Amino acid sequence: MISCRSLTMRYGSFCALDSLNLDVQPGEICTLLGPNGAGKSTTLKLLAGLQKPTSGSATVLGLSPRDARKVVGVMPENLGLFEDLTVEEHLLLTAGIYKVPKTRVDQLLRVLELDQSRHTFASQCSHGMRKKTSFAMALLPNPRVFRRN
Amino acid sequence: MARFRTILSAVARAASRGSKSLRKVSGNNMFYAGITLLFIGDPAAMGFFVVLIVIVLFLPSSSDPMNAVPRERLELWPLTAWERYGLRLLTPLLNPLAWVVLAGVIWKGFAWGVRAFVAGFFLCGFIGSSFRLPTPNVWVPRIPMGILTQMVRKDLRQFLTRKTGDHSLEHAT
Repeated sequence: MISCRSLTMRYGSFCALDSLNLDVQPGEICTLLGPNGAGKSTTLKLLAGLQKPTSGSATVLGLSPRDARKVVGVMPENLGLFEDLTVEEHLLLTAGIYKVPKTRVDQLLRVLELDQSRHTFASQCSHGMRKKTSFAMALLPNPRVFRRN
Repeated sequence: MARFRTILSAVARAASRGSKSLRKVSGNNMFYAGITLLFIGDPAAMGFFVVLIVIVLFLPSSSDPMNAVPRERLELWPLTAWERYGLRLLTPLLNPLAWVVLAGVIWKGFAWGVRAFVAGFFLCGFIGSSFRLPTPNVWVPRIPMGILTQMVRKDLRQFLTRKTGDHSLEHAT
């Protein structure tokens, strides 16, 4: 499902990721653990297609990370929320982009206990609520792969 | 197309709310506005400050509606290259000030050279704000102000560097 071969990322002379080989099978939950600067976030950014590797390759569901974005749910490190949109507006925006019915928005708001704060702006949400909103945005299109940093 | 409209509409909503928010009025802008008001009785001298305040207020880093979009989120969306270019081209028009400038340029009947300069100025600014610029490590003097020293250094450093805000991403883990 996720495959990396000799994945390497360099920023100038600094090597952030050195020849990573990784295989994650369907149904597996994979956690990357390591000290600061080990390359965990870099790996996730490469797998999300946010950066191009210096060398090596990565595939997600047999596709390049960029092409796989439609079927991958990502919860970014900084949560990626609009400060001036409400919780519900974030989900409706995601639903519009991925062509998901509005009933799914209501379902996720209910399951994640966000329905009470659906009209709260992200800038006024607690950190926990912001995390839940970002999580809901990642889950909304019912992705085949879910990644979070 | 529906996807494009959805994003454009969300950007418009976020940018509109943001522009009405007091959070977006920075101290520096108020400083320039204050100076401009001081020279209001002297039109010749005021001209320079009007130009200055226009530059400060219109700089894309503070008025580009795309700044309302978290960059990492934008990159994660499965948009085509044309949709991305379209967003980049159309979002400046979501800012009402862009229409004011456009109307002003047409109304005043500026020469085509001036129009091209204004268009180029805005184009460079908006394109520039689309790229990640590394924040330079600016050296600032250690002003002896007791417990306020570090605060003053922080303010000086912010004044001398471009604020990247939500658009800044770590380059490495």
